[in-house]
Amino acid sequence: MVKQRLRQIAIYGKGGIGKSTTTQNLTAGLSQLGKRIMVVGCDPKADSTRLLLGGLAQKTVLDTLRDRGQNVDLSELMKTGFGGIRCVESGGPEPGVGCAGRGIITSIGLLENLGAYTDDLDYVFYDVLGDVVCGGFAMPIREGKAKEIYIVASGEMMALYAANNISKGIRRYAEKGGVRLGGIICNSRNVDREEELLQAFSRELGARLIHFLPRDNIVQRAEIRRKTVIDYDPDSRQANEYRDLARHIEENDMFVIPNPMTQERLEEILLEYGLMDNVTEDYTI
Amino acid sequence: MACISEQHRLSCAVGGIYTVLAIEKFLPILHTGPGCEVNAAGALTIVNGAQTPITYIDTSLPCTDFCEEDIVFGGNERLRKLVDEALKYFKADLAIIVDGCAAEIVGDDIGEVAESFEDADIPTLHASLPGFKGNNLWGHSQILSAIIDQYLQPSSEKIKGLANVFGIVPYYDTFWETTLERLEELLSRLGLTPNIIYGIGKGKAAIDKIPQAEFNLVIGPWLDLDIAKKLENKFGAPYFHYPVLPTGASETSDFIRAIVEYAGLDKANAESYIAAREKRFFHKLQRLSNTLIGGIMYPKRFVINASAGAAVSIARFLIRDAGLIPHRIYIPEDVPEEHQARIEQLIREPVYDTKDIIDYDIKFTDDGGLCESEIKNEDFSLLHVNIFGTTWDELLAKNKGLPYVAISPPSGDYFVVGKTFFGYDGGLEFIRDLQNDSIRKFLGSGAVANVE
Ligand SMILES: Nc1ncnc2c1ncn2[C@@H]1O[C@H](COP(=O)(O)OP(=O)(O)O)[C@@H](O)[C@H]1O
Ligand code: SF4
Ligand SMILES: [Mg+2]
Repeated sequence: MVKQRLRQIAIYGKGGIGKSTTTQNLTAGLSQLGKRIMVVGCDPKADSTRLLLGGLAQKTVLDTLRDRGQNVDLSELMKTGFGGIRCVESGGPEPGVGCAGRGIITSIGLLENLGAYTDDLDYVFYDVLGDVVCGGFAMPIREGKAKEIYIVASGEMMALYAANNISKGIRRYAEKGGVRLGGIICNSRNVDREEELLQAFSRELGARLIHFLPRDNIVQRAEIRRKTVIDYDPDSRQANEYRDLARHIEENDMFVIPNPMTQERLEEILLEYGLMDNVTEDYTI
Repeated sequence: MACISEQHRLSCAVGGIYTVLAIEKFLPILHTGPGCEVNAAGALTIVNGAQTPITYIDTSLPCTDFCEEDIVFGGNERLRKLVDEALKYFKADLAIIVDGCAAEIVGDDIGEVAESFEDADIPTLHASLPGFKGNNLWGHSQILSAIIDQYLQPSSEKIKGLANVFGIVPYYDTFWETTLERLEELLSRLGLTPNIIYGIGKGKAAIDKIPQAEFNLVIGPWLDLDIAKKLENKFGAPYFHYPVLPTGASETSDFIRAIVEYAGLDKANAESYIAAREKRFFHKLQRLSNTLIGGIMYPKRFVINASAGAAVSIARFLIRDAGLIPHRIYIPEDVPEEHQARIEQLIREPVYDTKDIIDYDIKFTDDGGLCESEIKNEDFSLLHVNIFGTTWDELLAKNKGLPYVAISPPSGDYFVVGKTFFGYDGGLEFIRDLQNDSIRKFLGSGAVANVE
């Protein structure tokens, strides 16, 4: 049997929406399907692999580069965590100086030079900070890198604004570099009619709502113990949700060039699903 | 700025460091990529009259060589170390930290670094010179502004007759050094005390005198007007804008009369000087005139593709003193729109009493190649023209076998040494250059070829 091609996947979404939590739980799920995975955190906060490593922390690529230049060994940058998942953090400059976007470009370049992308990998996941704020944060979806993107969103207005903007970034690279949107992952914030809204939003983009993840405090309980839910309580309902998401991604065959909406159209959809009436309510976690 | 242009006549803003280098013992400290300085030098030094710096060698200036790591992590700390060392090593009178594109894009704060040297013995200023913000003329203005804003202090005492001289951008203007020397001589002779900041023997002492000047003289069509306005606001000194750097007798005499009138100088003294110099000028010009206007082969018309300053000076001189006629004029200097009408007016102002003037275009552009693209297909075999411009235009002139004189940067292929087209003698120098090239092109090898 011919080995399936390496799938490189980037996870985008508004800050705080649950990208890192979801990526780690989902890759934990994929590892249980026997997949070999590398997770590359592309956020200066360097918190994309904490749950997989259970406290064990690697040095970030950029910290190493700053201290020692390019003369480093991959083993210092890459640690193996839950389910054999290889974990790397790009890291970034101190807040207020330098260019984090360029930092991502630099560190992915360094990882390539050090031979992190081995043939046995089935998946590489990039967990990318916030939004596609500049060219640097689009690095993972530029030619030759991730061709498959999932956007984490919720029924909150700002999450959908961000998702729509990210779709604009994807569209730009789709035409030239072959990047495709694999779907929208709804990470629920318990907003009224959330699933309906996300279905409508995804339809408008021409994409699939790949999975609806319920909001569950077990995520926090696992997080405090530096674990994914799958690791912390494998039999819980939430662990099953993440395994379902993993399976949906593994089986996904619908990759599209999204049709981003105009601001007016996005607001129309939000109104239609009653969201605008609710904006005074508190959605904080 | 146009997205695509040919035949660059300007450098990027980093070229502003040559204004620092023209002031004796003033040191630029570069927070730029390793190639930025070379880029600026490319347009302003070797291929521009083979100029070299005055105090500090431009190829070994202190530079952080801003690299990828500085982009990611910020380069302020490395810059701080460099400044610390440079201040000790170079023994400058004043240092100016400048940055280029990369440092500006990632938001390095050179102002903060400069301020951290507040207590150093050597005043340390800062100026941002990213190429994406402007060209070397903008960079020049940034440097002078930094000196005025960050270093100079108002002075309660004004010195009668002291005039700061602006309007000439050192290095960019190929002839700046000799022009300023001659201008200093002339103004002194008329009874002024010119304060010129560039060149040897000026330096910090001249800079320190700027606030004491009675007025600022801006000579040339548009450059440094912003600086004069800034000085007026900060130090209350008015400025006198004389828009033509004069070449030849008519222009130089006009200039003298204007400055004498403005500054209330001795008119009788000026007139006797004018009379003597005009007599000499026209005598020498006459001796050339047989070949200048006698030989039927010699072109009577001219194309200029040059800086606004050179175009105005040379066009007015040729129209008024040499009786030549403009054919087309290009000004590829990215001149701000607000100055264009004035410059056009300056060129069109002198008129002839003959009827053979045909209408001609004056074009402002930032594309140095526009001139060539427009005139390369014109047939000059019956009606020759002269071409006055830069090294770029020399190639065109050579191909077409037309007389050429370098009047504007970049002017390669020769050492500028003591050359200038300023003043009475400058006019003669220009005519001599034109004659020499004409003779070479029309009588030289061409004649031999005909005989054979
Ligand atoms: N499905 C969920 N249920 C409950 N809490 C969640 C869920 N997903 C994420 N969170 C919480 O949201 C917080 C932010 O998530 P995180 O993954 O760090 O966001 P991002 O990486 O998008 O900035 C985390 O502290 C996590 O506990
Ligand atoms: S354009 Fe920018 S990078 Fe290029 S030489 Fe100028 S300052 Fe340097
Ligand atoms: Mg995160």
